[in-house]
Amino acid sequence: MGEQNLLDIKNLSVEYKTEDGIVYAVNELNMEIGHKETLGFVGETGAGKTTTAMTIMGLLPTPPGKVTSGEILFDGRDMLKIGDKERRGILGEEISIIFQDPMTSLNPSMKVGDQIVEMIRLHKTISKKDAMEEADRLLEMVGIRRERANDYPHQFSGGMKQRVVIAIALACQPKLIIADEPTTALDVTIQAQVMNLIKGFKEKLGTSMILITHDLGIVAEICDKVAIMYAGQVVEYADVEGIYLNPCHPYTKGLFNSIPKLDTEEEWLEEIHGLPPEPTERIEGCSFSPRCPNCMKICKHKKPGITYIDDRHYVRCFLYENQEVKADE
Amino acid sequence: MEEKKSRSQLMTVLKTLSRNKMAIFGLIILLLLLIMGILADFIAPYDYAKQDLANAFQHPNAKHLFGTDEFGRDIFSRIIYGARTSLLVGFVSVGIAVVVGGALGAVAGYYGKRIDNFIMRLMDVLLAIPQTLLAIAIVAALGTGLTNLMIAVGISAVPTYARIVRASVLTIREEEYIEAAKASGTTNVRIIVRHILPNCIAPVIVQVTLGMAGAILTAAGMSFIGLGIQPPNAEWGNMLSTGRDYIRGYSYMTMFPGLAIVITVLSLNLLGDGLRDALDPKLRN
Repeated sequence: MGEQNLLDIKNLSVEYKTEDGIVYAVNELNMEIGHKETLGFVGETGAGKTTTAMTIMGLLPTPPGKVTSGEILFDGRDMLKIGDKERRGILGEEISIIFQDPMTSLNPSMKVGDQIVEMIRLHKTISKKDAMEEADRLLEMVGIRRERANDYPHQFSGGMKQRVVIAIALACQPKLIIADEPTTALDVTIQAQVMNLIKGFKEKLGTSMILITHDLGIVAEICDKVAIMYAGQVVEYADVEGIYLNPCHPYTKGLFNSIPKLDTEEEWLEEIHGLPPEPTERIEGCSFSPRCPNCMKICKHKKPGITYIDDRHYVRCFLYENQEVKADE
Repeated sequence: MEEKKSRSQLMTVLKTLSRNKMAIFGLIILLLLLIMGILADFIAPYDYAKQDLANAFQHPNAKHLFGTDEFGRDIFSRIIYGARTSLLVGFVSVGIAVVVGGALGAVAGYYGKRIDNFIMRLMDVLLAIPQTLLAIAIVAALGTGLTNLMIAVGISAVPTYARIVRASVLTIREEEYIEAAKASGTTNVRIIVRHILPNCIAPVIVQVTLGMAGAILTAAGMSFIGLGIQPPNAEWGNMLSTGRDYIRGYSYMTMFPGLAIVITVLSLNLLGDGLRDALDPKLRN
């Protein structure tokens, strides 16, 4: 892999200091995103997905949050080491984020047009009039009539607000968009519209994207790579085909099992037994071991390392460490 | 139609306010006073400072509606000019307090930690001194006069606004759109000015109306004890003060400026209460 990745995260660990003790939000996370690639970031609530996204942008609230190890290389620059001024230049212009809840991610006292203009003018030196023209164009691009630039956010529906948020995120044609569960707060029909919109732009503008989601269906539709996250760690990382055709980690398998099947009638959905570990306790051994159907002796007291299934597919599980040995024989 | 739609937030507030009869009453009185103050030169029948010793101590009559004082100055005219002074003092001193207090509160609330601690402890020290007493101390240091009076009353009200703005900033800075602004590379100052302050204006508006009543009262009190505006300039407080010497024989000399103060403060308080209800979504029905 000679070409440089757009984003390279190495050994990232983040913790929060709370009154109940230290929360290990992200543990030794590794991942990479190439140019024009879309990474699906899947995991349960509290698995550390949003923390990772915030850390990439340098917006982790410190304290209580703290990066304890690792580096985040974006386009060759270490996002953890650059100064505030340089970061402000990157945020919005090269990396932008679409938040989960469009109801609260727009400023209620500013016209939506002005909010787009603000984003453009922060990063480009252009006249207010040109910026307004550009804002109108962006609104039309996301399917909103340009006259509505003069309306306030409360005059829009949820789906339309999310379109505005997308227009703002796209305003400076960033290299990387982080979409933090962009459709969770919307109802199902609107979800499909918004996802199609995002997908369309990604292809048109050639941006990379990190899509944080719970929805494996969306992942299959628009992602190139998938990282399955559990308890602050990427437990499996592969191309979409790899994950869907050959899920390896017991947790990934559990996730797929819990998707209701269309062709059979099911009274009960399959579930993964147990609950995710309390983030304040540090589990000796594999963090999934208490819930794992394939739990072995070694899982209880040793942390599994990274095992490559093939050169684009890795898993953190002892089941496969043996397999690798077998394959070598 | 379009215009109406985009102003709908303001419209809801005005609509709620219009249902409150007392608040509207206050608003009307306040507007009348404002017009009176602005057009004083045209409304007042006499020059407020013109002495006419031959006609001193006249009880209210057709020529002098509110009578004349010990130098024969027309009290009605002086009340009208007094409205100008009082409202000016009210607006300017509250303006000073809002700008200074708002800035301090916003910085304290947004940055938090040590800056917050430093600013708010300073405000606590100021709050420990009664507002009027603090204003007196400042005037004593700066000297009397209209400008100094406004500065003194303004500074003494700074902590109130600092606290209110800080409290709203604390809630608003946790909003997702602030996070979004940070994620777009917006500078901190810009976030405060463009995104936070416009969203915490509601409690400030209420406090401004109520605070203006307080400022006018404080200013009148200062003039009463001789630290504010000096005669012959017309000011309700100093009119009360001179009238006090003649209260047994010529009670109208204290009654009219007293009434003027009461009406002004009452109307501001009614309006302020109405605004508070109108701006509070929980009380809206």
